[in-house]
Amino acid sequence: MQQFFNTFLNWGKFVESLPQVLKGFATNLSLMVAAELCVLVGGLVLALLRNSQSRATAPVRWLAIGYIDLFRALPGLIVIYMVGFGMPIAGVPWISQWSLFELAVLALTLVYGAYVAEVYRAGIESIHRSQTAAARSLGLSQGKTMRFVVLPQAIRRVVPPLLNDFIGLQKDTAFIGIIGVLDGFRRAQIFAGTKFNLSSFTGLALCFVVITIPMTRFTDYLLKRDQQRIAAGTR
Amino acid sequence: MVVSRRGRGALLILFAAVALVAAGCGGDNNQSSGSTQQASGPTLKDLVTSGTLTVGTELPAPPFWIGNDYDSITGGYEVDLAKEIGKRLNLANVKFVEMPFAGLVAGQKCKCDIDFSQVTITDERAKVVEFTAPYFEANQGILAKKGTSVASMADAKKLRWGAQTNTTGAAYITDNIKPSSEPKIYNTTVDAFTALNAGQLDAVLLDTPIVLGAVKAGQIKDGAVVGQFKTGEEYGAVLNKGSPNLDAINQVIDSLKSAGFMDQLFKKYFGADPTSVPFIS
Repeated sequence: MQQFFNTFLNWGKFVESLPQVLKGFATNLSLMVAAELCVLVGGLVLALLRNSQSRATAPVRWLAIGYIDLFRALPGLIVIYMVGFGMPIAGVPWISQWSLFELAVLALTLVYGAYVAEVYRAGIESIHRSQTAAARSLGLSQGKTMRFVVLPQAIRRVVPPLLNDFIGLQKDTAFIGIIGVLDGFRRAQIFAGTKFNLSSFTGLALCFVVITIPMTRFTDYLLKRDQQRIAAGTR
Repeated sequence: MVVSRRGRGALLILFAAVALVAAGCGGDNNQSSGSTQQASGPTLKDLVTSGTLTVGTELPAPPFWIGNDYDSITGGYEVDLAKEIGKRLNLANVKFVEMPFAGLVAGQKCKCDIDFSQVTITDERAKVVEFTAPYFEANQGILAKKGTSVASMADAKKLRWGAQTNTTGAAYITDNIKPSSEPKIYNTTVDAFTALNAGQLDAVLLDTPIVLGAVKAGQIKDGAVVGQFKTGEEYGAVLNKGSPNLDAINQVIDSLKSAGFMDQLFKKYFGADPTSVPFIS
């Protein structure tokens, strides 16, 4: 038991490793923010393509469906590895010049964009058809109906599941270490490997928890507020 | 026959006693006949599988380990060495299992009797694992694309370095080279080689024999070992902390060394002499 505590909860080692771990975690955090912004935009575009109705846009719709099916099935780790090492080896123009950080943002956007597109779509489809019909009969175009009537309601409705996906995204940033970036995981590992103590990982785990729990509580709050609003509306 | 738990224990003790007596007789016989091969050499205790030497490592590591899977190893410096050690310890079988390097040097228990992973003996590591007597000497070799010139430490500082996590090379980069751009650290040697192939690195620092082996195996496109830093490391096999087998294995390694077995293995698997790589000071 004492050995257990000494391995994971050695206070001296914990404090000693913390500056390195925090420095690494900053990389994870900035990766998370950058990827989240790209995912929010990319996912919405995908969802709109996926949800396009007209016959003319059918090929785009099929492409979007294929993309979402493919990337929701791929583990983030594999995509980061393939993009991080593969793009430069394949000599893909422009992209192969990107830094490892930018490649990791791309990889995470590819994966989580697909998830988030489905979340958006669920939101869009949850808006009753009468809303669209009403907007169209008022003379709004298809695009304007989507922009001013459907999306504002749909996005508000899917904020909790979106936050849920972002918690997943945030944890997957720890994969960036495999392409060589010194992130929180790698720095904790280096410490553990030279001092033979895993308290550095405890520090890193705490970092993730400290970031995630407020997000979870915020999601809970939004859900509750939404429920109250709906309850008030039906009265 | 139903044997109670206690009864079984008593039987075991009886067997042990018989075995001891038998062993004693065996020793006497050997001395008197003298013609049978050294059956009374050192033996190992607490084996993972009795009668089998279970050897841990992390693949791939040519030419120390040749083969892509743990059950299809065809040869290699450490493979031949492990097999020879098994033979000298009267173990009929040698089995290879995976033991990640990063875990090994962090003191994680290996589900093996001995681990060969080109591990440099250091005081820090010796606190968490048992090292055998050294069986190999190495310095830190610079793996780069052909034509990369590293003539001095000043040249080295300008390169984009990569290394495997928790290796002597990784420590050497941060402690001695101190390059101007932050080094990149990978889980496995292969990841570092991939990054070098991808042009994300200028050079990888690993033990000279490892990078010589990688170049020989064609793991790096246009790769070459362009220089090395003298660090004088020695590789030791790794046993779990507190293993009762250290003395027995050390005896075998020492006798193999004095019989010239290591030199033969070196010629067989490296061909090139690591000392032919230029030293950088």
